Amino acid sequence: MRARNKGLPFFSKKKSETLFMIFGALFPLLQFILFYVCVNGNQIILAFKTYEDSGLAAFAGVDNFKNVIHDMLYDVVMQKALLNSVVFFCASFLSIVLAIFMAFFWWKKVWTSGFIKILALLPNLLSGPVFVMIYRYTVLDFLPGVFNNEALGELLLPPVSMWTILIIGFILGLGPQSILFFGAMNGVSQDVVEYSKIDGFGVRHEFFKLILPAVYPTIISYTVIALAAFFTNYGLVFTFENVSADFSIRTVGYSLFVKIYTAVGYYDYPYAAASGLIFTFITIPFIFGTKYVLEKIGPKEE
Amino acid sequence: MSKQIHKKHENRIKNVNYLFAISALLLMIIFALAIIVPMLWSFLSSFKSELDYSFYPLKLPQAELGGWQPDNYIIAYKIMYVAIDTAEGGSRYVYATEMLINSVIYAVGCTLISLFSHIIMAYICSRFKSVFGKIVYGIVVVVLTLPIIGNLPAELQMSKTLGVYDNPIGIWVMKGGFFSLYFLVFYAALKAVPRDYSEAAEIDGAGPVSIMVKIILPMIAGAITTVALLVFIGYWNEYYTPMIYLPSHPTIAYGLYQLEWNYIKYNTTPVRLAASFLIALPLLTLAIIFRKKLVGTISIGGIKG
Repeated sequence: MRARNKGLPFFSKKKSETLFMIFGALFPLLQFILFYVCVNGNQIILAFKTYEDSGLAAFAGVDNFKNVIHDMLYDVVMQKALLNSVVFFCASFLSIVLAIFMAFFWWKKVWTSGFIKILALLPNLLSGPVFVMIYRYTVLDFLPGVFNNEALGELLLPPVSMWTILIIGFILGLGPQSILFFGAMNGVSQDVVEYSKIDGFGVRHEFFKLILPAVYPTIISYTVIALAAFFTNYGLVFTFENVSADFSIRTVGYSLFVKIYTAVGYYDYPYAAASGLIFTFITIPFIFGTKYVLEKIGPKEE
Repeated sequence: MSKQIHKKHENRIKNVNYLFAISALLLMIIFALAIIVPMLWSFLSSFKSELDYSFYPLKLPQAELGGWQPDNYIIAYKIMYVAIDTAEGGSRYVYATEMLINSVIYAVGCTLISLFSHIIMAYICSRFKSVFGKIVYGIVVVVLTLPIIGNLPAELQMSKTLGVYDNPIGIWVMKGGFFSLYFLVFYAALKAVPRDYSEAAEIDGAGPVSIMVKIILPMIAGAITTVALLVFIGYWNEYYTPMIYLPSHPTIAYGLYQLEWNYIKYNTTPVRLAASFLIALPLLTLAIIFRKKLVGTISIGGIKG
C-alpha cells in the first residue's frame, strides 16, 4: 500500500519551532492586520460615506464613485492630471531603460564607472528638498543669464515646470535604479562571460544574451512598481511646489495628496477614498497584464 | 572567402564596441555633470552673501560683497524652525536641535522595528517548511504586486482612532510592516544559508532563537547592514510621513523643507543652500564610511508567482 502523503505541518512538527513562529510572527501579523487589512477595509467603508458640516458621517451610497467618474470624464483639471500621470509613468519607464544601460557600463568597468557609482548613491543619500534647492537655486535660476536666453526662465513656470520636474526626477532616479540593476548583473557567472569572449561574441551579444536575461526579473519588478505608482506619484511635484502647484502640472497622486493634506476635518476623505478604489481597480489588470506580457516576451538565459 | 567573412565579423564587433564605449562615456559624463555641477555650484553659493550670489553666481565669493560667509551655516541652523500647535491651543516653534532629536528617534526606531519585522518573517518563511510560511510568502507577493491607491485618508483616520497619530512610538508600530522588497532580499539571503548549520546546532541542543541569532543571522550580516543603512537613510530623508503623522514632532528633513517656505529675515538663498548641506552632512559621512556596503550586490530579483 502506498504511504500517505502527510504534507507540510501548519507551523512545525517541533513544539519549540511552533512557539518561535507564533511569537515571532505576532507583532508583524498584528501590524499587517491593523495597518493593511483594517486600513484598506476602512478605505472601502469611507468611500461609501459622506461627512456633514457638523462632522457627522452619513451613508452616501455610490455618490462618491459617481463624482470621481464624472470628474474623470468631464473635469478638465482631472483629465490634465491623468495625462500628466501618464507622462510621469513614461518617464519612469525610460529611466528603467537608461538605468539598465548605465548599470551595464558599470559592469563592463568602463572608464570612470567606479566614480560614477559613488555619485549615483547621492540621490539615495540626500533628501528631496536638498536636491530641489540645489537645482532650483543654481541651474534653474541662472540658466537664462548663463545662456543669455530669457525663454529659459520659463523652466520654473508652469506648464514648462512639469518637464523640469520630470527631468530632475529622471536624473535623481537613474542612479539608485542603476545600482540595483548592477547588483543583479553581478549574478552573471564570469565563466559564461569568458566563454562568450572566446567564441568571439562582442558587447551586443553580451548585453542581449547574457545580461538582459539575468536582470529581466528586476526589470519586471521595476515596471510593476512604476505602474503601481501611476496614480500615487506626487513626491517631486509636492517638494517643488508645496500645495500650490498649478493645475497644468499636477498629477493624480499630487491632487489627491494635497486634497487630504489641506483638508479640515474629514469632508474630502470619502472622495479621495473612492478615487483610490477606482484607480486601484484600473491599475490591477494593467499590472497583471503587463507582468504576463513581459514574462512571455522576455529573453531567456542562454 | 571564410577569412573575409571572419574579418568582416571582427570589424563589426570592433565598431559596436567603439560605439558602446563612446555612448557609455557620454551617458556617464552627462549624468556626472548633472549631479556634480549643481552640487558644487550650490556649495560655493552657500558661502556667499545674497548680493554676491545674485550678481556673481559662477564666481568665487567677492570680497567687496562680503567675501566668504561661513556664518551662513550657523544662521541656517538657527533659523530652521517649524511652528506647531500645542495641546493648550497655542503654538510654539520647534528649532533645529529638537528636530534633529526627532529625526534620530524617528529614523532609528522605524529602522529597527522595520528590520525586525522583515527579518523575522523572512526567517520564518525561508527556514521552516510550513504551510504558514507559504501563506505569508504568498501574501507578501500579492501585497507587493497589488497597489492599494489612495488609502491615505483611511490610514489617517485609523491612526487617530488607534492613538498612533502624532505619537513617535505609534509611528514605529505603523512602520513595522514587512511588505517591502527587502522581505524578498532577506528571504533569498536566508534561503541560501545551508540547513546543515541549523541541523548541527539543533543536535548540540540549540533552540530556534539561538540558532537564528547566533548562527544564521551573522551569516547574512552583510545584507542586514546594507538594508539597515538604506532603510535608515530613507527614514532620515523622509519628510512626508512626519509632516502628516507627526505634526508635533517635526524632523530635520521637514524643517529643511519648511525653510523654503518661511519668509523671514536672514532666510536668504545662500543660507538655504547652507541648510541643505548641513542636513546632508551626517548622511554623507555615513556614506563615506559604508560606501562599499551601499554599492553592494543587493538584487531585488523578480516577483514571481
